[in-house]
Amino acid sequence: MKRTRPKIFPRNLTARAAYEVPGNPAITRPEDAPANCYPGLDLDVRNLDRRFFPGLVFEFVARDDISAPYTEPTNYGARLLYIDDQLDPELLADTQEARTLSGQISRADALREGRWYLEWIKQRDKTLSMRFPSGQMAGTPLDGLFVWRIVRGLEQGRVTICLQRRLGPDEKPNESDAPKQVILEGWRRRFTDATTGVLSGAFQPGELTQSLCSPWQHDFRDCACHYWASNRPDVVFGEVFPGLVQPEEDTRTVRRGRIRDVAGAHTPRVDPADVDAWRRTTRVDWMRAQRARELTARAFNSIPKNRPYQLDHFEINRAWRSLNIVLDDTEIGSLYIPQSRERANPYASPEELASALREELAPLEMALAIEYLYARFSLLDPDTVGLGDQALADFVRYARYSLLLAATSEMQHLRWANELLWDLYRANLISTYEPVLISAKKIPRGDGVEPRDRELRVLGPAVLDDFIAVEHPSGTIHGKYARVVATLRSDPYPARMRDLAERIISDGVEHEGWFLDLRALVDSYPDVNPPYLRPLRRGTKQQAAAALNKFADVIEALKKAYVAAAQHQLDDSAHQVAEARAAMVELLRLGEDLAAQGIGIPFP
Amino acid sequence: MTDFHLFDTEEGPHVLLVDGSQVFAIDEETRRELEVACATARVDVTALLSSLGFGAKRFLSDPVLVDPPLRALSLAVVEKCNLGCTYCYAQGGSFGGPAREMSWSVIEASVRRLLDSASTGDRVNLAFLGGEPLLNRSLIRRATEYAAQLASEQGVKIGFSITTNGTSLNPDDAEFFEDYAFAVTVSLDGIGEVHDRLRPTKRGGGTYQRAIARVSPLLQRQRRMQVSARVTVTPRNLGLRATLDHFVALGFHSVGFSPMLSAPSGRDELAPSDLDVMLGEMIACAQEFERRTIAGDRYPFANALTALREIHRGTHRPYPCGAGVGYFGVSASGGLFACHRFVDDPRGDMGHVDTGVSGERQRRWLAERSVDRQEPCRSCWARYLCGGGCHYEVINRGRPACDFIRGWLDYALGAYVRLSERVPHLFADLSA
Repeated sequence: MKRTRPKIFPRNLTARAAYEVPGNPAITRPEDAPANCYPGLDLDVRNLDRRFFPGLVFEFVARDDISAPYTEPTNYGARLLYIDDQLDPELLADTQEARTLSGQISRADALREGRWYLEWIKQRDKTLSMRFPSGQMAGTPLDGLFVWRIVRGLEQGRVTICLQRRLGPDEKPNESDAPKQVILEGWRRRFTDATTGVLSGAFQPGELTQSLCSPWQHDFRDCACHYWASNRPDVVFGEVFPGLVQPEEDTRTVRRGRIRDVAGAHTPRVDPADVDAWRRTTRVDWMRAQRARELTARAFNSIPKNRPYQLDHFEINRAWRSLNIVLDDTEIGSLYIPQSRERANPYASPEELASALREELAPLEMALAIEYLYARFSLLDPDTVGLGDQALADFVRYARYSLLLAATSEMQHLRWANELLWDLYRANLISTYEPVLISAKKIPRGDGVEPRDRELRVLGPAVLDDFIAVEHPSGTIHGKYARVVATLRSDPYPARMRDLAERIISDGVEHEGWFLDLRALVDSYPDVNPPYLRPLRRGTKQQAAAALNKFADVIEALKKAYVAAAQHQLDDSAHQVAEARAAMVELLRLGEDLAAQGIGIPFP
Repeated sequence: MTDFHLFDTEEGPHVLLVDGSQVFAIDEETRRELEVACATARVDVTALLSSLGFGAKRFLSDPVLVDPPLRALSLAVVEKCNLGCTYCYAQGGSFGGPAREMSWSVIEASVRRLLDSASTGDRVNLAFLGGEPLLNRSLIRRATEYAAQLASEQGVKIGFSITTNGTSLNPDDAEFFEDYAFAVTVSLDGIGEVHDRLRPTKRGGGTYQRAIARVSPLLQRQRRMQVSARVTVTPRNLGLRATLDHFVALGFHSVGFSPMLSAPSGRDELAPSDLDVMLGEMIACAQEFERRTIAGDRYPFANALTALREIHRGTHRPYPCGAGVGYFGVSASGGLFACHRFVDDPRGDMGHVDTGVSGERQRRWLAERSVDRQEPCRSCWARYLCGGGCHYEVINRGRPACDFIRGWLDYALGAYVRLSERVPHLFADLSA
């Protein structure tokens, strides 16, 4: 019989500290919350400081942004919002201190009228003024956030504050006797109970969360730290209507090619008159204010250029519902048609699957990692070699970055291929697990084409074509993993294995994209003696001894890591991975040093 | 029930979770479920509590303390007294031996030991007891000045206290105690004759008038100093309510009652029937406390204030007090004892000021005295609020007051709930 949820209310401090309210996530407890100050994801810590002084509630009035000009200096600072001495528990305590301060506050009638700001704070023997001490702005009130920062730095102990009355913009100075300054001696509030951590009763429900980020309203558009904005799409492909078929192949290729305009005007590969094809291959701004489909324009290639045409902060609060869901980089309107699933022959048994992983896939990942890494070493470092041409420097940077990223991605796939193997072992589907950390000798080039040898080559158009071929969606590696995914869809394989395999496939699509970009860009340079290359020659084992030893260290550490992981000794495994990583960092450095001397590492 | 205690109030049913002394308001259904758990042996209490959202955090993991720091000493500066109170633990002041005074070297050693154990920012306490400590006031003054100086140099906060029969107080004592913010406890057992019968001079004369006369100037002077009245309750002074009203009206900072359970002379100990009467009186006092507090008056009934504060904080302890933990009594010759009542008693011997607290003896004391190892404490719901009862009394007489303590705590829990609702700021003081 289902009972109603018990109504339980913690009364005393230990109960309040310990009780986990059913339904509340862990982050509703201050000790478990990330809790930051900008403004906050669960608890805006700055709200504690609004009540830093018992009996008084402040507001920290600041500019919109740290780079904004000081347009209203008389408004900035810690403004006394109101006096809350009747119910402040720290003032009601039965102590001399509390009675004294309570008396001071109740006698300070002047505070109840006019605009009062924190003028200075004294703690121990240090007095800090809330105005700029020197320079051009000397005497100008500090921005409220600066004041807040000072208040945050107070110790929990005796504090004396001075409040000063400021005239409003329309107020004339008053010749009356009313004091312009009030000094109060008190202490910085204890925000939580020393033993149990329970929050001071001075804070009202809702007070600590009243200024949080609003991720689903205007902060979704953007916010100063771009945290929320980084979680949403910026430019995407327009909606594809059902019933309109286009070969997937073309759409993908067109989408991936020529994204950056280097040589001149963008040359679309589809006929602009074919509106639907155009839409399918043109990126639009996801935040565009113009929601009518017929009037959708291509997105510009930078945020500031797109900004004037986007939904504004106040608009987003209302218009967010008109934003489209995005799947597979494409806006979905009212109807979603899933892309066709990978169709492939599953392997007949766990042994067959393991065999494919062991003999073909894992070694292939290693081979590609090495090829990409070698190509990366062949590129000049624009930071050490002055390249007069900015476009060239940008290209080289981008190429070095993409190749390293692709290489490390393959290293990750190598791990995942091993992980698939040890998952099979742990699920008792195969009898042993041995780490596979060797390189394939041959690289596939597509169905019906002879595989090529693994080669350590400098970057160039032909090399890029080979890289594209291996990563191409209908290429062999994709096909092989498609078989893996197909196999893993059914029992007895654990679900997580399929996730891993699917990630390898989608990464491959991404790699192809990078190589396509590079391929397009590299055409701008001559094939012979291109300016982006180092004069790299494959070195001897002696020349590259240090690097080869380091490479061997990496392999050794990874072997240990994988063996430990296969035995579910995750701490050991993590430790070994950390060792391997440290060695990889060192290897990168050694490789760069050698490459700068024209020596390429002869990887095994 | 070992793990929780149900109690009903005007604000509805409540439960005290013994671990961590957590107090919760609950609904009727929960109350019934817990009641069934009490009544039958078949319910898995831990599982039940867990399903209700309780017990997510364990407060008392190991109820035996290890290496607690020294934080308080009481000095029996004078082992003699001008009164002959019937129940005195010091048996007229000299603890059954020759009347002695503490030498300066012992005082110095004691103060040094106390401050050596403390770091900057720590709080320690030095108490003066006896016998009647004011019989050697120059020693007290000198000790206080010395300790204050040393503490100031080290950045340690030191509090001073003194327990006196009040008959030897001088006007300049007021100034001295005020300067050093003493906590002065005056032993007064009732009004007029009631007090006189229990606390006569050694020749049998009354002492009430004199004590009150001498204490009054201090009561006027209280600012930093706090002067409290402590009433030892015996079968002959059970009219607590009247006593409390009177002493509060006189201006004592607080008034507290302490049941006399074990006297070396065996005289004037409370019998179980007396304890029943005392409980009734205490509740009457507490009801008055509630009434006055709700009305906004200050009615400093110490037992109630202490109980409420401890309940609010969720104090949970495996020992009844700091005796042998962080607090020790020093005898005139410098011996360290578990507390002031154990001075010169080998059963509470814990070392010497020259050599310090004996680690081995303290370990044994802590292990043996932990409430979870006591009978019948280990299965009592009040054990972490009570702590097992005064060691001295328990060792000498056993535990006659368990029902009294449970009755008092049960009432205090209800009072806590009522006052939380009506006078919430009473519990607002978050300072340690």
